[in-house]
Amino acid sequence: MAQATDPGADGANPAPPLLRLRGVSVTFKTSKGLSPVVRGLDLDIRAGETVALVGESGCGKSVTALSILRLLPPAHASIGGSILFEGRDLLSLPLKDMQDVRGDSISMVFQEPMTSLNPVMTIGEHLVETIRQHRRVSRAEALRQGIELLKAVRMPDPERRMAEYPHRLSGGQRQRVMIARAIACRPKLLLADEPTTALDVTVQAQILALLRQLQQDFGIAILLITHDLRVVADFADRVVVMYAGRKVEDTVAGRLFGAPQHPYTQGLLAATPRGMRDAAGGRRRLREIAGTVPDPMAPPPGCPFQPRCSRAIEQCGRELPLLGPADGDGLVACFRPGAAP
Amino acid sequence: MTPLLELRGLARHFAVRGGTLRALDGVDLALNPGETLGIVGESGCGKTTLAKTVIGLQAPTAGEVLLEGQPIAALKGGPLKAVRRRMQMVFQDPFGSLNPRATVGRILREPFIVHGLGTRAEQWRWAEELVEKVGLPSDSLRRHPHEFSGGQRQRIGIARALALRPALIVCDEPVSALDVSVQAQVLNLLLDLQQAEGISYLFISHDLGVVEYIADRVAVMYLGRVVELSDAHRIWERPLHPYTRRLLSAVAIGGAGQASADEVPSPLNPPSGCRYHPRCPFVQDRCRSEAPALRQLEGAQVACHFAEKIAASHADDPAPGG
Ligand SMILES: Nc1ncnc2c1ncn2[C@@H]1O[C@H](COP(=O)(O)OP(=O)(O)OP(=O)(O)O)[C@@H](O)[C@H]1O
Ligand SMILES: Nc1ncnc2c1ncn2[C@@H]1O[C@H](COP(=O)(O)OP(=O)(O)OP(=O)(O)O)[C@@H](O)[C@H]1O
Ligand code: SF4
Ligand code: SF4
Ligand SMILES: [Mg+2]
Ligand SMILES: [Mg+2]
Repeated sequence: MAQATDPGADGANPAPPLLRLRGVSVTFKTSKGLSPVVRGLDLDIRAGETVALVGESGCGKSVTALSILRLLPPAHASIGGSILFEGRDLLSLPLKDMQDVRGDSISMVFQEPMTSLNPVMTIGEHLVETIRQHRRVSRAEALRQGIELLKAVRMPDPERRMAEYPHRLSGGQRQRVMIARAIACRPKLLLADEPTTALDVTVQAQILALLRQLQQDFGIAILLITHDLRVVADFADRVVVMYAGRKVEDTVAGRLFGAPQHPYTQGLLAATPRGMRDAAGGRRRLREIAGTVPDPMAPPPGCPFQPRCSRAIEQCGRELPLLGPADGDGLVACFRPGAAP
Repeated sequence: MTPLLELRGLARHFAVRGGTLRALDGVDLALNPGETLGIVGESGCGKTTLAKTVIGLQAPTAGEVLLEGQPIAALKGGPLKAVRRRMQMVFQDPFGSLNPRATVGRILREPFIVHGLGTRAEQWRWAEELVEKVGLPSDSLRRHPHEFSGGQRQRIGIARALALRPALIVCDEPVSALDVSVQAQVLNLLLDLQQAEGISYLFISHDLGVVEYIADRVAVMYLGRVVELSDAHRIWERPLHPYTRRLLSAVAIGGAGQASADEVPSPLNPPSGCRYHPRCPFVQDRCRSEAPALRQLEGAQVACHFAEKIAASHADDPAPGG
C-alpha cells in the first residue's frame, strides 16, 4: 500500500506493532515422536500493513496463523515463545478472553473453506451468527448486513444465497462467504490463508480492492498467506519467506522480486511457468528446486536448505545460518546471500 | 481419430429456491488421446459441475458423455466399472475428498481394492511408489489427512488419481494449493506421464499462466456454456470473444477497470439471447434476443454474432495477455 510507513526499521516508526511474534515454535506430537514444524519465528505486523508469508508447501504457514488464534488442538500441538497482540500475550490469555479476541479483533480466512463452514448451516445462518456474536443488532438487521457483505464480495444472487447450504456453492463462492464472514466484524487483524486461490483474476482483483479499501478506512492489518507471487507483488508491503519452519528472508515486497537474496527464494521465483511456452506452442521444462523439503523430525545438520542448495559450501553442512541484515534492506539467513553467481 | 472423450449437449441443472439453476447448459467438447484441454472461466460458471458430470459423480440433466465413442449412460455393471477406471478426477477441495478417518496408505490402496488388483503387499508397494511420484515422504502412508498441509493433501489427491493409470484425468484446480516450486514439480510430472503413457487431461484452473503453459487447447466458459474454443498459443495472441478478451486482460492485477461494479451474472436467471450481453461493450439489439451458436472462425470456435467485426477492429491491438 502506498501510504504504508517504513516497515523495516523500528527507529523510524516508534509505535509498537499490532502483532509481535517472538521465538514462536510449534511442535506436533505424532505417533513417531515430536515434530517441530515452526522454529523460533519472529514476526511484526503494524496497523494498516500487509505482510505476506510465502514458502514451500508444508513449511508452516497455516500452522503459524492457526497458532496466533490458538486454534491448534492443545493435545497434539504445543506452542512456545510469545505472541503479543496490542501488548498482551495471546498464549497466556484465559480461554474466555481468547474467544473475544477471535472474530472480534482477529479473524481468519481458512485455506480450505469446507473445513470451517458448517455443512448443515445456511450461508445466512453463518453470517448472522458471526454478526450477532460480536454486535448487538436484531436478527433482521444482521440479515440485512449479511446480504450487504455478500454483495461486497461479489456473490451472484446474494439474497437467495443466504438460504443456501455450503455444498451447493462453487469453490470460489465458498471462499467469498468466508471472506465475508471474516470482515463482518471489522477485525483489527485479518489472517488470510490463501484467500483468493479459488478465484478468477477478475473477482480476485475485486476482493483485493475491497480489502485495500477496508485497510484504508479502518487501518486493518493483514497477514496474507499466498502462493500467488503476483498477488504478493501487487498487494503486500513486506514479505516473509519461510523454509522448513524458519524465516529465511524478510524484506519489502518490491525488493524481493527485484533482488531475492536467499537461494530458496531465487529458486521459488525461477519456477514460474510464465514465459516458458514459445509462440509455436513448444514448452521448456519448468525449473524445479531439486529434492524435497526435509522431514521436520530429521532435519539435515546446518542449513535446512543445504541438501538442495547449489551454492552450499562446507560451512553450510555444519552451522545453522542465522538471520542477519541483507545487502541494502531486509534480513536473510544464509552464509552466501545475494545475487546468484 | 475417435476422440477419447466427447461431450454432446451436456447440461446439468439444479432445482433451487426460485427456479432452475442452469449450472451447465449445453456443452459440446471433444478431447483427443494425449491432449490437454484447459477450461477457464469465472468463479461459478460451471467448471466443477462439468468435471463432476464428465466423471459420473453427477447425472446429466441432458446430453451425453462418450468415452472412446461409447455413451457412458448406456453402460452397466462390469463395462461401466471398466470405463470408470479409465477416468479419474483430482478434486478442487482436497480435504473434503479424502476420508478423514483413513490413513493415506488406505486411501491410496482403495482404488486397487475396489478393482480387486494385487495382494495387500503389492498394494502397499504401489501406494509407496505413488507418494514418491508426487514428492511426499514414504512415511506419509501411515498418517491421516489432517496431519498434512493443504498442498500436501492436494498431492495425495493427485497420487490417488494416478493409481489406476487412467486414460483421462479431470483435474479441478490441481495446483492452486501448491507453491510455485511444488507446482513446477507437479506440472512436470503430469507432462512426463502424458509423454510416457498418453494420458489426456481436462485441466481446470484459474491460473491463466498455468493454463497457457500446460494446455494444448483452451475452452472458455461463461454462465454454463462454452463461448470460445481455441489453440492455447493462439488464444493469448488473438482472443475472439469479448469475454475472453476481458478475462485475459484482467491478468494485470490492479489495472484499471477490473474492480468495476457491474452486475454479477447469475445462472438462475441467465440473460436472454447472448448471456454476455449485459456486460458486453459491443452489444447490439440482436444480441439481446438471439443466442449465438459456437461456430468456426479463423481456425477457432467462437459464440458471438459479431466476432468478425470485433476481430477486425482489434487487428492492430497488442495482445492483451502479454
Ligand atoms: N496435526 C498435525 N500433526 C502432525 N503434523 C502436522 C499436523 N498439521 C500439520 N502438520 C505438519 O506441519 C507442517 C506445516 O504445515 P502447514 O499446514 O503449516 O503448511 P503450509 O506452509 O500452510 O503449507 P501449504 O502451503 O501446503 O498449505 C507440515 O509438514 C504438516 O505435515
Ligand atoms: N449441488 C448444487 N445445488 C445447487 N446449485 C449448485 C450445486 N452445485 C453447484 N451449484 C451452482 O452451480 C453454479 C456452478 O458451480 P460450479 O461449482 O460448477 O462453478 P465453478 O465454475 O467450478 O466455480 P469456481 O471457480 O468458483 O469453483 C454455481 O452458481 C453454484 O452455486
Ligand atoms: S546457508 Fe549455505 S546451504 Fe543454506 S542457503 Fe545459504 S548457501 Fe545455501
Ligand atoms: S453476441 Fe453480442 S453481446 Fe454477445 S459477445 Fe457477441 S457482441 Fe457481445
Ligand atoms: Mg497452508
Ligand atoms: Mg469449481
